[in-house]
Amino acid sequence: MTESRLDLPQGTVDLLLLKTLALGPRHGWAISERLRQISSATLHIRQGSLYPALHRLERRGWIKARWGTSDNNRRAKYYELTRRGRAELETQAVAWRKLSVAIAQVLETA
Amino acid sequence: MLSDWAIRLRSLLRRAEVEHELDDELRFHIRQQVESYEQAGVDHDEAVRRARLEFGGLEQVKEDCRDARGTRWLEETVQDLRLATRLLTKDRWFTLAVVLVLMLAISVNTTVFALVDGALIRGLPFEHADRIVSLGTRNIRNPIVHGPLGYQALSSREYEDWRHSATAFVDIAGYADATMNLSDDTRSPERFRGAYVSVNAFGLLGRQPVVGRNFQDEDDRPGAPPVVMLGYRVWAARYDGERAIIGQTVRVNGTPAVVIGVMPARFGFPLTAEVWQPLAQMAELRDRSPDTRVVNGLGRLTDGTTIARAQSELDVIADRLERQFPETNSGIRSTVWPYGDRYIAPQVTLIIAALMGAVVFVLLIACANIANLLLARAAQRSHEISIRMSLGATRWRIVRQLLSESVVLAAVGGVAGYAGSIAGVTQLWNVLEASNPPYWLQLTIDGRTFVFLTALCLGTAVLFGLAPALDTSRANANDSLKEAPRTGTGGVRVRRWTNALMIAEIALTLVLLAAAGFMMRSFLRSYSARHDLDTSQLLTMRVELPLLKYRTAEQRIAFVQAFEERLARFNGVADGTIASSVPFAPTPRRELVVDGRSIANGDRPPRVSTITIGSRFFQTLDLHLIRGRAFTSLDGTAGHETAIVNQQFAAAFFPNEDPIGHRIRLTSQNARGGTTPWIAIAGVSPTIHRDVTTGAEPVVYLPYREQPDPLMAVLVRTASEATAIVPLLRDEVRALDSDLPLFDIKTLDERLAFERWPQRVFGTMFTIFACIGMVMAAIGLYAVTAYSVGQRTQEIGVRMALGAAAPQVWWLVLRRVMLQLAIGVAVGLPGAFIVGRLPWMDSPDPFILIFVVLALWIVAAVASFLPARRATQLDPLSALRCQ
Repeated sequence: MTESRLDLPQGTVDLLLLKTLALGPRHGWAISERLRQISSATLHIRQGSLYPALHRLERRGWIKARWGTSDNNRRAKYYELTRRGRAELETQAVAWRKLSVAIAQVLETA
Repeated sequence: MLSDWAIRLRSLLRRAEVEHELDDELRFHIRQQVESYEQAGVDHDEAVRRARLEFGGLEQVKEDCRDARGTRWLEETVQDLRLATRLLTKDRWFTLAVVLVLMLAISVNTTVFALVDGALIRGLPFEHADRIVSLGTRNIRNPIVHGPLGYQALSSREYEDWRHSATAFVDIAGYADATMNLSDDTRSPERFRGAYVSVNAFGLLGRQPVVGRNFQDEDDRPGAPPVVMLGYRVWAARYDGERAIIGQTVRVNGTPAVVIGVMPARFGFPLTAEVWQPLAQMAELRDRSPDTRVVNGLGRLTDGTTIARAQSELDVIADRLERQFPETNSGIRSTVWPYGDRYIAPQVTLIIAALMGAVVFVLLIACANIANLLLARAAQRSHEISIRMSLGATRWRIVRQLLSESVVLAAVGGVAGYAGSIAGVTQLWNVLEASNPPYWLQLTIDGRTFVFLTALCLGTAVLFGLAPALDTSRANANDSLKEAPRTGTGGVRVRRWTNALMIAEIALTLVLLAAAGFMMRSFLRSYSARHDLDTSQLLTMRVELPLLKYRTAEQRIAFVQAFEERLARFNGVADGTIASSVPFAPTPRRELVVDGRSIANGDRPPRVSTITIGSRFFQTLDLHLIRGRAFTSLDGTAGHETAIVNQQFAAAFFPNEDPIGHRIRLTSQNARGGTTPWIAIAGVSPTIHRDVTTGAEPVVYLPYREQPDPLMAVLVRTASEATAIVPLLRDEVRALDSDLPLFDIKTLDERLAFERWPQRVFGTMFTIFACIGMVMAAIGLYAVTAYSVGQRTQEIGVRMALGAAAPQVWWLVLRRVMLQLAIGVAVGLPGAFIVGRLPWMDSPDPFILIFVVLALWIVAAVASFLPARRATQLDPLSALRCQ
């Protein structure tokens, strides 16, 4: 765990997970790989901590899970966005953009 | 959210499967990771190591996932409950005490709630019962005649007029209570409570016969052939439930009537009636005298009509009738009130409310008690709890653990209380049933009562568990760890709680004891008042001459004469007579005018009780006239109007004279301006005190022939076993009139016991509650004192080592008990004065209050004696060493 990696602020894992699933169903490992790739390995997410977050999202009804078969023919649990999840992703993404713009502004001007 | 609960439910019910899936999911991830490293050229062992490292602790992740699924709380609750059960089984005596206290409290609460439910909440078993109202009249010129309920019935003219002109009602029906003697050729005559009802009455109440037809308009026309409706029980018991009885002719009060139908079981309108006839059959209505007010009105309001609106409409009608018929309706006003109010007297409502209050007190005492026991126990456990907190348990977790124990205790107490409630309700019903309750009053543990019981259990759990739990868990882990090994200081907070609870407990117990005392005293007083009369072996019963058959006064007088002659000839009967009322029963009162004395303008004439008696009345009661003579067969005939007055009367109206020979006149409510004859006083009898609280009443005895009412009491004094004479008496009556039953056969002692059932039942209940309260207070005081002695062992040891003698140690321990007692008594006394105002209670009497306080003092002394003695017997050395 190098110094250059960032810890995620609370609550943002949800947003990232939803975004990752927006392109289609994935299993947990694929999600973690995807996250690692697109964040260019700057974000520090302990892999194990994805699962409680996924289960929480499932309980909230934003994603749903079903068992399927992976590329290498193993039984894997796939998650996909529900309609409510998609709406939630929109809302959270908009809120996050507003927030980051605002913070960036403060940092540049103050 | 559906998915939320679906997932929670699944994880609870299919726990193994869910766990298995979780395991699969996580293992799949790790395997994928390992493979991806291997593909990148890392060797297997290193790949596994890295994958594991990046993933984090597998068990920790699983735990987090379970958390995320939201079932952890339940798993923990199960765990808490299991631990609680184990701890409570270990602490057997503590558990037993708590469960016992709870059981008592819950069963008395549920029992009384069943009474509240049956009498006050469940209400009348009619459709839209809130729209059914009682209708009556008031005479504003002469309010005395209304009696305790404040109303009079309607005359047939008023009834018909209201029915046709009032628009606020869907319908108005009429009814009058009656006794109905059923007789037919094959069965012996039987007497039932019955009622005359207008033909629309059952329809208005929404009830129909289960067999046969309802009353029809034709049945209510004057001169219509008499018909009769049977109650279910009469049909089943007397006529074996045979449908063939419909259409047959039986005799009702001696008059043939055709049976038309059978009402459903558990229907007894208006109170406990079992036989009904149309109003047209009512003898008192036959003459249609416009000021005979015997019809009780019953109305169903139209939708949206308020009682106030109905009242104002009837006011207008009353005004019109007053103008139209000034001789019968002057001063007559109408009244409308909810039907339910008629049968639940305000007194009863009040006393039931007071009982409910009393049992809530008992429950509060129980809760205070258990809270005290829990506090004492929690203090012993503070060390354990501190350790748990320092190991990372949150405060909420500790509170939950402690509350779980309360919930387990409450659940066990609730189950035991349920069993107790069933016993209590059965017992109470047996007593109440003897008082002839209205047919719709039932005591059952129904759904509502069960909800009440459950709420009670949970409520008590929170009530007695929460304060100790919060208090114990507030302890800072550090403080407690430092403090607990030294038992010297004890929690100041804990002590403040126990003090407050103990004081509350003493105050509540005092109020309960006082209530029980006042009520039992009024009960005992009413018994102590009977020395004027030997009530043993005095058999009383009633007989009623049906007016249709005994239309004239002469017929009735002839019957009484013949009956008394038969009684006089009777073997084994020392004496027998008739009277308008049995001794000690309430009597009608009439206004008195003494010849030669005028009443100041505006003053009400004095009122005296009147009793009409048979010729052998005083002999039968074994009373000897003080002056003058008994009635002869001439007394009461025209021109020979005479009376015998009691000594109280003589003292009140002729203080310095001999009343014999003076003339008096009695006016009755029904006298229409006419004059009643002057009555000469022929004798003076001893006074029979009704009871001490009402004092001695002036009574005028009149010969039966002067006022030959159809309903009379028969008094028989037997030399031997009182009830053995009943069959012989029945034969004598039947010889005179084969349709006439004797009824309401009781010894005078039984009758008195019955009359005093409110004091007896309610007094006993208060006494039981008070005893429970006292036992609880004793348990509480014992526990608290024992606990405080245990806490202060070291301190006491130090004091003894420094030379404190036994009395000082006694004082050390008892001081606190005595202080609690004193404050508790001070708080409770005003409450005792408040309950003293309830009906059937003696006024707050210092003797009882002193007795109650003394009793509490003794209980407190006994309860704290053992722990205090233990303190004095401590060995200073070992006490000091005690950690």
